[in-house]
Amino acid sequence: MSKHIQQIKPLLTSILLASVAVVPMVSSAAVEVTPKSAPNAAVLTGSTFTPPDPSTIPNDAFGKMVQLGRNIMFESKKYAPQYVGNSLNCVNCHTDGGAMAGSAPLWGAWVSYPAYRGKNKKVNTYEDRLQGCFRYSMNGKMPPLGSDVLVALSAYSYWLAKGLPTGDSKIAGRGYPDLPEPKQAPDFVRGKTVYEANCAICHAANGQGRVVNGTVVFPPLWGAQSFNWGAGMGSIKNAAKFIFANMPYGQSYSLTPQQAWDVAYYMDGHERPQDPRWQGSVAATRAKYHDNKNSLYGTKVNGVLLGDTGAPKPFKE
Amino acid sequence: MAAPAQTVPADLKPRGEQLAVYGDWKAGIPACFRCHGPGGVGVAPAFPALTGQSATYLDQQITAWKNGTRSGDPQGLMHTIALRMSDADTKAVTAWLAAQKPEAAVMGKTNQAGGAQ
Repeated sequence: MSKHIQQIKPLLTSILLASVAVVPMVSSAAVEVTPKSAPNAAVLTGSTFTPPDPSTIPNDAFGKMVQLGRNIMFESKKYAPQYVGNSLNCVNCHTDGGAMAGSAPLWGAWVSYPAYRGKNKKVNTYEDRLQGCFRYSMNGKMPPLGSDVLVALSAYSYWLAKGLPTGDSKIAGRGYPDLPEPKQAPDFVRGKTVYEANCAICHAANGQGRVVNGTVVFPPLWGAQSFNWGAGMGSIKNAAKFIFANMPYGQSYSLTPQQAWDVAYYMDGHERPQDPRWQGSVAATRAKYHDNKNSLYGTKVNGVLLGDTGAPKPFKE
Repeated sequence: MAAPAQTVPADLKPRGEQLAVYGDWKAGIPACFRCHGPGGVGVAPAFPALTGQSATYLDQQITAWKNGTRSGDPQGLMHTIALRMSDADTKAVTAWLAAQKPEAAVMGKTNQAGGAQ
């Protein structure tokens, strides 16, 4: 893992130098400090795959399903209201509608399933995997197997993956790029400083994002309208990987790995909806599903015993 | 200064709309509407409204960000993006934005993809 990041570091350096080299020579005092960043998450993944362009979605029955899947990615509540329990959209964690390498692209997942998952200790089909997104990340209800929502998302994923060899679960660009373990243990107070300097402009100081005319522009990162404790993003490690490659928006790889770990800890050190796999108590739920160093569920952070909010609330559309 | 809506030249329309509504992630350009809100109506306090502005004004601002001569750029967000935009990109997106009526520019109006991301 750390070997991987060492391999990509020289690449990052050369990219940053290259991008600096094309900056017009300007010496104005008005120039503000711009973080060095890569254009997108794909840059450091080594991915060479290009999914088809959306303008080539066919105009037939299959194409309509593909388009519905794409619409669900961008506006989840609008196109799958019966299964979405918060104000997130799939695209919040899958940049460019699930097309971007290094941002959990759907094409990378499509060629990797069916697969055994430690999370539920069974072999999951692609539809099973999608159900998990709705249950945890969208704090909602699982669309039934074979439902239009799962067929549409499967059709869209299949369409995106055109030409990729199937069964290559190690394909470059899948998931989020690995990060080395942090030098210092991730820290709430340092994370808050990173958050205020880099994230609050969009997600707001209270982490609740911003809404305009009833549309969520920037997603809430914790609280009742965010992902629940069962979601992958509730793992500090997973969140750090996502953040390092994808945030701030348009400034991929601009934070240091340590900053990414710290701000992930800060985000995941806040209260959010209960884990739907609730075992009757925080301690029992932690013991069964969260007993690892990357989950703050059932631990005390900033004086709060996280997850101590009782049984999951019933799903509401 | 607000200007009356203008017409988008046909050759600039597809690229302008793409950048405003969907962005071009290969080039590292997020959609304008992703941060400036659906229809570019603006998101207080840091992301001002884009629709209702003239193409000339918008073009000048992007150029100033690119050159680093415009202040008021928290976290260098627009400097970063402007550097990734070609002159043709700037021309297309500012022409497209200037032609949008604020009340008509709503997310998801086009047949392509759902929204402004």
